[in-house]
Amino acid sequence: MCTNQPQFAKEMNHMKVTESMVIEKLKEVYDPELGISVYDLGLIYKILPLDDIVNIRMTLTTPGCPLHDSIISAVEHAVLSIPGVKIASVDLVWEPAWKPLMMSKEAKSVLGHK
Amino acid sequence: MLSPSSSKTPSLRLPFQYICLGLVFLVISQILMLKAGPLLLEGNIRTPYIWILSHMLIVGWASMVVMGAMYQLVPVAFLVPIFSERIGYIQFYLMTLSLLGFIAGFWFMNKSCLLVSGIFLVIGFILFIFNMGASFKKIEQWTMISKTVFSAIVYLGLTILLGLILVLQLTIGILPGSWHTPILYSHITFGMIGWFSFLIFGFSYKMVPMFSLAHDFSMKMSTYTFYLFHIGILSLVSSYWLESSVLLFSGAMFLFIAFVFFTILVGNILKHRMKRNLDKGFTFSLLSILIGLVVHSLFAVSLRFFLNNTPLSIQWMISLGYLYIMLWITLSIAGYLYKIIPFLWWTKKYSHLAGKMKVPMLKDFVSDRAVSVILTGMTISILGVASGIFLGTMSLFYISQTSLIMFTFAFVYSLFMIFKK
Repeated sequence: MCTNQPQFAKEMNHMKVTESMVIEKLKEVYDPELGISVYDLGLIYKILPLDDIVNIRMTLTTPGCPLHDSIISAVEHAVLSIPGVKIASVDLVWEPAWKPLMMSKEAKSVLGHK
Repeated sequence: MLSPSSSKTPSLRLPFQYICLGLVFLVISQILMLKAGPLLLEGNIRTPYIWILSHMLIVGWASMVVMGAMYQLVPVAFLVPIFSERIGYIQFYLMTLSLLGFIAGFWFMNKSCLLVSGIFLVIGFILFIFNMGASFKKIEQWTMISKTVFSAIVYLGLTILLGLILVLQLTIGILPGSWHTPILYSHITFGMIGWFSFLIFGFSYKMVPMFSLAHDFSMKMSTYTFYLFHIGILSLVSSYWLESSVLLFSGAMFLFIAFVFFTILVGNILKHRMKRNLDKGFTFSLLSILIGLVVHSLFAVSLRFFLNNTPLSIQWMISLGYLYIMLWITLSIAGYLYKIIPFLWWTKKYSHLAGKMKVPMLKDFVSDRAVSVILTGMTISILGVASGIFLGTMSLFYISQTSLIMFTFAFVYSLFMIFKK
């Protein structure tokens, strides 16, 4: 059966953006040096979806990270790819500083921890 | 608190140019090294051919690569922009041409070519020092890392100043002849020990935690390393002018003790690491630290117990100097290049696609197994060359150097292959 594509897209655009949808996308954004997603690394401090705007507060493993621009733009691109999101705003903070404890079990396992 | 800031790194073309040219000079210098065998084995190192070779290796390879890397790393490590990218490009072209002229000057023993290219080479370095100095001026909070790297730049300045005096001395003869040896030794000490070691120390403090994902370690030992290494260098240089064997030995001991503190600090960082399995290239950079420590200890012991003018003693010191350049400086740089080049290439080719589609990880750019084989091969070959020089065994020297040339080709090839990914 043929679906009505424009109608489908319209419905998707009006779908409420949830935190779990953003998390799912952020799990696809990897730190290319470590091969771990920014979410599993514990770099994401807060996700605030407000209608078609998503605000993200995040950090990096170290100030002056060489992948600074790349990771932030990757996060923005990933969030913008969620249907219904028109603006993705990333607020980069250094307080509280990132600590290895913030990593998920999966991330620790990738790094060789049992 | 450090304020969030966007990346301040310059265009990637700038570091790439320096690094690629440095790799070309590494290959050429290793091929030319074959012809240096008889000179090195006879302890006849103060000859134009050895001067060409050493400058090709130290300036053409090592300095070019580290200067290129610094244009990338200084903004990353100290959160300041490079003062002028344009100066970086002018410096690159000026240094490339003058380095070729400088080598031609030594090759044909053409004094005017030597003088003109020597002066332009110095101008190139001065541009770099000025550019870095102006960039460092913007650092808000000076740390032991920035102080250590800045010290390296100061020693580079002193090396260049003495290098210029040596060129003027060789071509015009401006100073008393007796000053030549102390100036030459100071030039070598400031360049090899001051410039490179301080630079590797400083960037190791940033890169070792970054590549091993280490946190919550103490940097206290970096202060000891900093002051003791300065004292060691100044003591060595004073000993050349005052002809004091006590100062010479003390200097070597200070350098060794400083290096011990540096090694302990790196060991401590690694103890606090989250990444259990380290990348192979990085592991070889860490290995170079242990080799540097051994060379420093052998240097101090040699000065105390068997420094004389016998051929064996001279061969020993040449071997140690060779090991210092090849297994401390070169191996360290080579290991880090397996991290730096994939990062630069990833940033250029894939960073704008990250988040939009699946992109490769940095580890996908080089095979850890290939890196391991290449750098192990280079390390063993270098040890063979050093043994050949020390034992005066020509066959060992030639076999090892031929092997080193092959592994150097493999090294450069593996790095250039990254650009195909």
